[in-house]
Amino acid sequence: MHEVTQILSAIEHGDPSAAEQLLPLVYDALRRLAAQKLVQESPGQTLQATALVHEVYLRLVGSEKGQHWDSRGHFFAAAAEAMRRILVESARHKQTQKLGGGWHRLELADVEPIAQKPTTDVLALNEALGKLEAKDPRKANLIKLRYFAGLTIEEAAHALGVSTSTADNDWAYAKSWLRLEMERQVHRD
Amino acid sequence: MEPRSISEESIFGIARKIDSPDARDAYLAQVCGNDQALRERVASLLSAHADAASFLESPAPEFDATSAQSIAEKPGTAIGPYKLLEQIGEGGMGVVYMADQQTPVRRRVALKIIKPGMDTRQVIARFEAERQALALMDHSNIARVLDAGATDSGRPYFVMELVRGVPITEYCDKNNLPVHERLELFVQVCQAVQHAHQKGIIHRDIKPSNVLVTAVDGRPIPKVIDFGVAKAINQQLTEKTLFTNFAQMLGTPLYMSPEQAEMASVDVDTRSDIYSLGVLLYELLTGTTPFDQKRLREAALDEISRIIREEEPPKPSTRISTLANERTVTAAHRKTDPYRLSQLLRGELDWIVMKSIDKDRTRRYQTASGMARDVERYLHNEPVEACPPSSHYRLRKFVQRNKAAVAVAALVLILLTMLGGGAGWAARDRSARQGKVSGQLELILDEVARLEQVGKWSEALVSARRAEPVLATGEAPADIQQHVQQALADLELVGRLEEIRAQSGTSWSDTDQRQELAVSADRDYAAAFREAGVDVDRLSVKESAERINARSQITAAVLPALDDWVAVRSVGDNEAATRRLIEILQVADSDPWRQQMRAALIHKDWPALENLAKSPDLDRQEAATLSFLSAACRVNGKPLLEVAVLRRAQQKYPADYWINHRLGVNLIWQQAPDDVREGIGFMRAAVALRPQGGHSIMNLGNGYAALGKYDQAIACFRKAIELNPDSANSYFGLGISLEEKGLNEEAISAYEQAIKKRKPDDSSKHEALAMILSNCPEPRLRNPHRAAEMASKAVEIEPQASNNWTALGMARYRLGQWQEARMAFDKSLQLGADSWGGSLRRPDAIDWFFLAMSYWQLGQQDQARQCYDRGVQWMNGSKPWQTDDEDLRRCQTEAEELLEIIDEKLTTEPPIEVK
Repeated sequence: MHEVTQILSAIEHGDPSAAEQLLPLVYDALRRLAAQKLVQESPGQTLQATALVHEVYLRLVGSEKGQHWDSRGHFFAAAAEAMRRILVESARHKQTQKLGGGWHRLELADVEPIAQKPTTDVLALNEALGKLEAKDPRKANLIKLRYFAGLTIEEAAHALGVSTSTADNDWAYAKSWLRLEMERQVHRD
Repeated sequence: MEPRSISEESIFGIARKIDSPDARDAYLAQVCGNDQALRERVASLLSAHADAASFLESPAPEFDATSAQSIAEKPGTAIGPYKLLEQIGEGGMGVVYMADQQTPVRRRVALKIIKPGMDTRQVIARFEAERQALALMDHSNIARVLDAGATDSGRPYFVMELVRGVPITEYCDKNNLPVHERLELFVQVCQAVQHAHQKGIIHRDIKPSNVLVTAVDGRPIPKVIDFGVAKAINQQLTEKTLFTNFAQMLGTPLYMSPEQAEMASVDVDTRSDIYSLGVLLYELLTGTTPFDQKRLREAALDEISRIIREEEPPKPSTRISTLANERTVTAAHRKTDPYRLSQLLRGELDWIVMKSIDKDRTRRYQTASGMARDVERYLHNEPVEACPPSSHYRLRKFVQRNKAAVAVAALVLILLTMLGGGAGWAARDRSARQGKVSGQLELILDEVARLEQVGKWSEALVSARRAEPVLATGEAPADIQQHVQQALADLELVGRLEEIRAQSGTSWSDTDQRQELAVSADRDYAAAFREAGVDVDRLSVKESAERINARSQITAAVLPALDDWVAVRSVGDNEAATRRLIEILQVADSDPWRQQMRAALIHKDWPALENLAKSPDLDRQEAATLSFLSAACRVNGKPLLEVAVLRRAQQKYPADYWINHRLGVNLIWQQAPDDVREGIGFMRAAVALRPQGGHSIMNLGNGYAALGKYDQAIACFRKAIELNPDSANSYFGLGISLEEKGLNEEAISAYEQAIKKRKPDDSSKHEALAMILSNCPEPRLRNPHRAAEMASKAVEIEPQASNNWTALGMARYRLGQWQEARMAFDKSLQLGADSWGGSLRRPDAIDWFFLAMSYWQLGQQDQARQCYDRGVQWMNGSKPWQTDDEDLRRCQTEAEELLEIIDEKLTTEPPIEVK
């Protein structure tokens, strides 16, 4: 699995096209690991998305010391995006099932084990995030790194190359902005 | 102030930090003025902020069994008007399903869902652009692409005519089709591709898995699939294509034409498909691709690109004979035996394949139908259009690669015409081919010998390496082959010796590194000679000398290296070992002058050496002798004499690399601007004489840096790193220059590299890195933990260097360890006062200002103020060039801010004189 480290080093050596090559790899790895884990887990267990991201990091990149923060940052940026897609795909799928789209035979593993506690509406968040991204990509990336990859504010600041206080301000603003945007969606729907 | 100029974001940023609601309202009223909309907007953001304290704070949702397993589309899913039935394939690019189309017609199709990671809109847009052309294709050997779209989860998909078949190579092998039947199938593939080309469609990704064979009424019908897909996906040779599933991936480099492998190129036309068809034919005939799959898989990206663009693959018949165990199987799959198969391929089939995979697309078949016709001619026993690569063409390519030798090459052209031209393609016969190969090799050897005679060793090595591909054909006569290999071994040894000499040459500075560098150069010399078969410590003196002299072509380079080795060894205290080298040299080299120098060195007879250096005979000596003499002066601790010898030598031999290099290094190290300027002149001469000499270029960089010409310095260091990626000093120099230019982030990474390279392990690199990590003007780049680590390391290596303590103090200060910081600055000032305090010492005032801040943080304000004053006092008593220091200015400002001195300075007169 050293491809990922190779790509990371390509990014560090300034190959701009390398960054986008990370995404499919990380996406696949995340999905595979999630599927594998869920098979092992007893029914009713859930997986924390961000824990998954960190485990994939350890598997693909390893925990060697001396790993540059730069490359960790690139990795988590890709992972955050991949996790966002996975969660959005999963949410969309659930939605189509609820709307009667899931007409295929249900298998045992497909049955939802427990009622999900109400969490953030991923689809609404995703839509709002898309708008924020168009307006201010840095803040959208910050949200993704924090929310989908589970980085701390300091780590996310480091990954984005901004100071912690800037990240802190961005975070407060972006959160409030998204919140307003999502409320507006609800009223419009 | 114009209120509108403040953005909603910054108003929000400030307002959210105001706790009292009244104060906050007042602030909003003031800053928003009459802009009611802005005020409302900020108010709603603030209330969202207050409500949403926990919103998004616990990172990322959990997901459960249902969601994880149902992410991918699977049988039963409806995608637009298509219902997925079963998965029928999976490749690097995506998954293929059989699907039922419901409307507008009911039919069964293949639906390929592309893996995530591409911009779906772009993929579909590119497909739409070609949709009309694709619709025009109507050929029984082409599976049409019907539709493209995006799935619910946002992934692109393509809908194609359903083909139930297996890849053509697999079909042929499974059914043990003999060669002529394979060719008949292949002709149909060419005709299909021709049809597409006529409609303006280039496939771009022809490979076995895209040419499927189905049996219709017992007859095999090939179908080319995926037309239009490659273009829509627009995949080029990038890491991505390599990191995905290699064998099945789209645009696998195995079938990729050289122009596709050219990473920057978009210039791909129908002849690129011809190339891929050629590779397919190659594989149908031999069971393997022209380039080894394993080798391409293991190669780095640019290496793959280079192989595809430059390497000549073996002919199919040659390839068959080099396949080890597989060739029996390969032959059996073609209902024959390896020998017959090789015979069958030799000649026309070789030519057809090689013509279609020519690197130069103008020399390939220009159309797929042209290729098909030639294969048909072969099947009908007619003469084929393809012909063996002509000697003229080969020669032309050869001359291109040997521009330096063009004049001589013209001679060989005549020779070759005599050998091959008159007899037509009777040159197929072995002796003529051998003659041609010998001619090429002899030409190369002549060139090598000429370059060796004038001491252009690296150029000679480059020339000699050109013989390697010719040797690889295995057609060179044994004696010439041996000759070439000897030349290569000789020149590689010279290259290594010169490299060691360059490193040891820079070590003659008056620092503590000298000993360490001498030890490592000694070890390197011993290893280089040992591996060249001259183990001086085990062989007898006589035998060593004989073996050295046996390499007559390169003694002019080997003897000076041995002399340099003598100089290196005499720095250490192993006198017996030094003596042994000198004894060997006394046998191997009888030059009386050098004998005298060696005698003086071995007996440490410095007056004798000085006499030689001042002798009027100096001008009559060889360049290498003078180089050695100058090194001996340095060993003797007479740098001025060394420079004097080198100057005289330079007048006599203005074009000698070593003399220019040594003189340049010496002058640049003097640091005085006039010397440096002069040194740069000699160094540039050295670089011109040896453009590949990384050490000279690095020292040139040092020269420019000493004059403050950092742009030029940076360019030099970068070039030096390119030539010699392991040079710690180049990275160090680069770091210093970058820091001076304010490119701090790059400077930090250059320092990190310098430390990583380690050799030589002196403390200055650690110190420089620690300083920038503690005191960088861009706070985000500061990293006090790493700085402390580096500074501690620096102190450990050289505890007597005051700068290392300054760096340590600064890192401790940044970590809030005031007491430790104070102690380190005290130590630095104490060492600074005791030692030479030369130009390399950082300004004392830095210590004073930081000491002041440390005391302040410890609550000892009076002490702090005294230290600050000492710092100012030092500055007033110093020369302008001593106080012109960015770090110093920043420390002073920081200290003044902390000690609240700023206001005072503005209101009181500056002290005229401080006692």
